[in-house]
Amino acid sequence: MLEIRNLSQYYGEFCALKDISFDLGENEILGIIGQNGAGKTTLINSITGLGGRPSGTVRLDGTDILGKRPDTIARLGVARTFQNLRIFRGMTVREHLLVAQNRKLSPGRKLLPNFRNTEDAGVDALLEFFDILRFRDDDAEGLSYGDRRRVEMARALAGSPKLLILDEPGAGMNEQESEVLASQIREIRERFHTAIILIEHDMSIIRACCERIIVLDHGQKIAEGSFEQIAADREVQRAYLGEEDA
Amino acid sequence: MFSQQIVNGILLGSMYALLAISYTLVLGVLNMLNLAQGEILTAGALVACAILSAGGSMPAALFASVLVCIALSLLVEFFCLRLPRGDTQVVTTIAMGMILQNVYTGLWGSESIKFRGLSSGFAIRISTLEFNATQILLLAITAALMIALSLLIDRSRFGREMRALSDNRTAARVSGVNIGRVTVLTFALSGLIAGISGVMAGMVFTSVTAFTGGTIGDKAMVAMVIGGTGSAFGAGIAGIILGIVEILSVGYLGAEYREIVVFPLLILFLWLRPSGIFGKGRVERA
Amino acid sequence: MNVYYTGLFVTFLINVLCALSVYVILKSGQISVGNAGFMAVGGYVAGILSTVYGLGIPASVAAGSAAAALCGAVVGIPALRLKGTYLVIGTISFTAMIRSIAQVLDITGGAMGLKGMKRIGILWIVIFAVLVIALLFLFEKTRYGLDVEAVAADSEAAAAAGVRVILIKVLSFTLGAAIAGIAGGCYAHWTQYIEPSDFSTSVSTMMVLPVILGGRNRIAGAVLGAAVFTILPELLRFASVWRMVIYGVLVIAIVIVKPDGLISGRKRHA
Repeated sequence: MLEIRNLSQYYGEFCALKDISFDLGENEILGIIGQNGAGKTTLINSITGLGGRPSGTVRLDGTDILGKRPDTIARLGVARTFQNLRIFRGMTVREHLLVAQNRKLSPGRKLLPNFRNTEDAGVDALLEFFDILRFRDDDAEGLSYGDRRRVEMARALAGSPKLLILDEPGAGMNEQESEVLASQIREIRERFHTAIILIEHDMSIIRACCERIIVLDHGQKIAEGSFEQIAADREVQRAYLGEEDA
Repeated sequence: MFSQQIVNGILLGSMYALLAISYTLVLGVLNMLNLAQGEILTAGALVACAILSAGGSMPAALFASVLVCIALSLLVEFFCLRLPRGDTQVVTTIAMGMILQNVYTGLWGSESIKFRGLSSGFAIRISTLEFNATQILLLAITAALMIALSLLIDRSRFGREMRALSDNRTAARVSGVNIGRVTVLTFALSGLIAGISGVMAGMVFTSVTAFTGGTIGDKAMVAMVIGGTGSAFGAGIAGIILGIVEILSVGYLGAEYREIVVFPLLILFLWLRPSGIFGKGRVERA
Repeated sequence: MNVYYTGLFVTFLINVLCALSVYVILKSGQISVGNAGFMAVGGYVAGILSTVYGLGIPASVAAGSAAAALCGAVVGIPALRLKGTYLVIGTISFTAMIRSIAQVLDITGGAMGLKGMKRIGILWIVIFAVLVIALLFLFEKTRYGLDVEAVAADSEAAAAAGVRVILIKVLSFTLGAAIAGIAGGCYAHWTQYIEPSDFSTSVSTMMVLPVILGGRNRIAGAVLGAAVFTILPELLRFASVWRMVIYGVLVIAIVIVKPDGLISGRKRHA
């Protein structure tokens, strides 16, 4: 459902991405790994329309989305979370989800006041899934780091996306939490039928969730395959561990 | 006559240029727009006017003006930069400007006061142009100040610290720049420039009111943007060009056309090239 | 009713409209210190329509507001690319440009100003003010209102969540300009004389103070700020020009101590 061909991104002279190509099928979980600065977030930003002048082709279900505005891309069914959580200051958890759902409403409906109604069932179900239902009417900003992360994910899912992009959702988690997250990601795929792109540093999560993994290094794709395949790849080892003595 | 108007334009523009430099210094180094700067200039003009009217000498008037303006600038630094939260700083400068303007009206009324400039009949004639003592002094002051500023920014340690802070605040702090000190000194410097500009305004317009600095400030801001924020050189050139454009507009189109070329010009720049002519290209994008 | 009190009441209402015009734009995360420009457009257009073309006052004010709204949209589009300082300078310059245009044209009376407008009935000003407040109040309760808050909080994250950021921002400018236009039209027909210097940079920048003082997140805050701005100088009449100094000091003090303004709690959506 997602086709990427020869995606490149330059910031002035600096080449952040070079000739990235890969596919993503419906309901697939794809992992993207790489050292810091390898271009993972840049890749996501290029796909979601945030910044720079990327070149190449990015097709979502046949529609060209490269270079489109971020809200247009979001409305086409792409949702994402951010590495540095971007919570809306001053809004409750419930309101975060309502905003994300706004894209599904007609302008007429949007002009009507916000009464509690049937949409709330969907919102509540999502909050329940992430175990943050009890925070529903609280200021999202005041929650713990982990809960804010869950709000971000709930917000992303609230728009019923076809493609969900998670940018380091496991950052700062301990082993237990990572396990929970990993199974949660798999459950998201089952329950909400979204394709997922997962950027992570935590290999246990990658291994537990992803059928296929792409490795980036200095803006280029250096390997693609299952976890075992890329773990055995010489290029990958070199990128992560430095030059091995021959 | 054309060449005489060019000269007048340069004189007017020098004032814009200097004030524009003071705006761009604070904006470039401290990332803050001081909307009270026009009113600080007014203070300088009014104080100098008072001293001259009381029989004081021009150097005394200049000194007093600079002193007052530096003091006011430090007040702005404290109440509008240091204390308030980041996104409210501009608003506090608006309030400060309002306070100052009303203080002036309270002390001096809103009428125009005659500025007793130089009374010498001394004049230099170069072909068809005539420069009287006032004009010579103004040009001399402008040139001297611009050279001094240029040396300060390029050659001194303070200048280096200002530039470091302007380029990358975090890197500057890490490499040992005393940000608090540079902040205060930058404000003091902008106050000094405002003080000198205030005296110049009195000489150029031969009278001052509580509102003198306001219009000059507006145009200096235009010059700053067109010249490119962060570039004192750009601000200076743009200021002079603006002065020339203004005088020519009045001369060839009529008095009511004074402003009409200047502001649309700015809007054009904001649309097409917000970083200005010499700007560093680092403009915040929405 | 006593002439003095009616005058004060009208001033209050016009100040409320001005404050709300700033409030609406601020709500979307953009700061406009150029609303005097929109006010001028509204005032001049309304004034010209009623004096030269004989249009009724309420209709003239409405037309003036529409003209101002158009300017708002025109300003709002390039404003998207400017943030913070540049937006401030841009909006100040817009106001200066409107002033300079008014100074040049014959139909606006040039520097001599526009005069001869008939006096607007107080009831009309009240109606306009109440309408605007009611509409804003309802609008904030809608899903669009939620969009606006999201854009102000984090426009990139809002875009990633599917909010039409550009539309929201330009609409906010348009709406703010329309409200300022109504203020201008009412002002022109109350004082029955307007000139370019009525819409100076000082006036324009000072227009943001009531909103910042009263509370930038709530309509009630803007209204409170306008009330303080109108009443305080009257209470301190004995202090003449120094009353504005006191007001200014008050603003700075509040901004430092309570940056979100006097009424700072956010209203929850139903």
